[in-house]
Amino acid sequence: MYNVTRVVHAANGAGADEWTDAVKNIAAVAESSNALRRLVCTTLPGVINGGDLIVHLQFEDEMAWQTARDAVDDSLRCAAVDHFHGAEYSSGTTGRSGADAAGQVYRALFIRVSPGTPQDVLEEFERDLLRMPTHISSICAWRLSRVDAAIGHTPWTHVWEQEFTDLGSLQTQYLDHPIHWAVVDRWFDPECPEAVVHDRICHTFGNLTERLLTVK
Amino acid sequence: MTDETLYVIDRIVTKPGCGRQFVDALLDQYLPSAQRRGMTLADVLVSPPLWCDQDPNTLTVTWTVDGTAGWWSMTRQGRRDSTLRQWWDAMAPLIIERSRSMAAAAKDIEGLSNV
Repeated sequence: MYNVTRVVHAANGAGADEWTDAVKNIAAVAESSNALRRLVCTTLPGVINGGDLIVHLQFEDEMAWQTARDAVDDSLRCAAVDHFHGAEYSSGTTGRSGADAAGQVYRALFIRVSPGTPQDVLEEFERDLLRMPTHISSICAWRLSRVDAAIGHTPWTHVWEQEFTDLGSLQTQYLDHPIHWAVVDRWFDPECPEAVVHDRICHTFGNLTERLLTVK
Repeated sequence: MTDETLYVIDRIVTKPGCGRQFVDALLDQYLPSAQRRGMTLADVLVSPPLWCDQDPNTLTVTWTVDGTAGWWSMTRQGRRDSTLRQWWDAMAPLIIERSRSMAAAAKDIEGLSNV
């Protein structure tokens, strides 16, 4: 599976009708993109550098995405959109916690690991991220992928995606669990010597209508 | 958010003869901004407990914060403050190695994990 995620920032001067029309057009283009799975959703309050709209598309392979690419990105270039950024990536480590778990919220964290980070350190960082679903029961599906191509100002290296059971759990359990603040966050905290993420992250999320992160 | 006391533990191995200089800088320069971020200094332990020009010291600096809300408030303020990173960079010539880890009382572990 080849994945494309775009984080779209609305233009400040865009009126509500203009934005609504732009979103409808973006969704229509996504619908006709031949993506096998897709999510086009407005972001929810609380995102950090997370924009106003998430466009997430999953294609059979990279070639299928390249065929759709111009139409998809052209739909994002309109007066109602200030700018967009994002990433393109093959599916990395993917998991699901249980057959009955149903996620209501899609969340994506875009990360740039500092250049020059040794491979063994990078792998330890990735292992720590992947420990989170074991401890945080509201993560019902997850995927950690290395980025093939980044779009926008920040050359993202990783996308860390989850399906959460509900918005409240993303905003409380995810932050409050010790696996987050006592284990994983050291990679992001400039006061910790282990920190490898120094650029501003993108933490974005929106409502999910169907399963998105599938295990092969 | 949880209310348990959380501990931020800095372990710093200072270069020979630099232990006292580091502690002085910590108390004079780092402590005031740490307090503004909600950190309370619980202990500064020095091992071995003497200042010696020929040997390193291992310093164990223990801070407390109030619950996960206090912890996130502390770290978010710190990330916006570029002078903190500059302070650690300025201290680098005094330091052989250091670490920062998080901890909690054993009696609080179940409560912290059951969120």
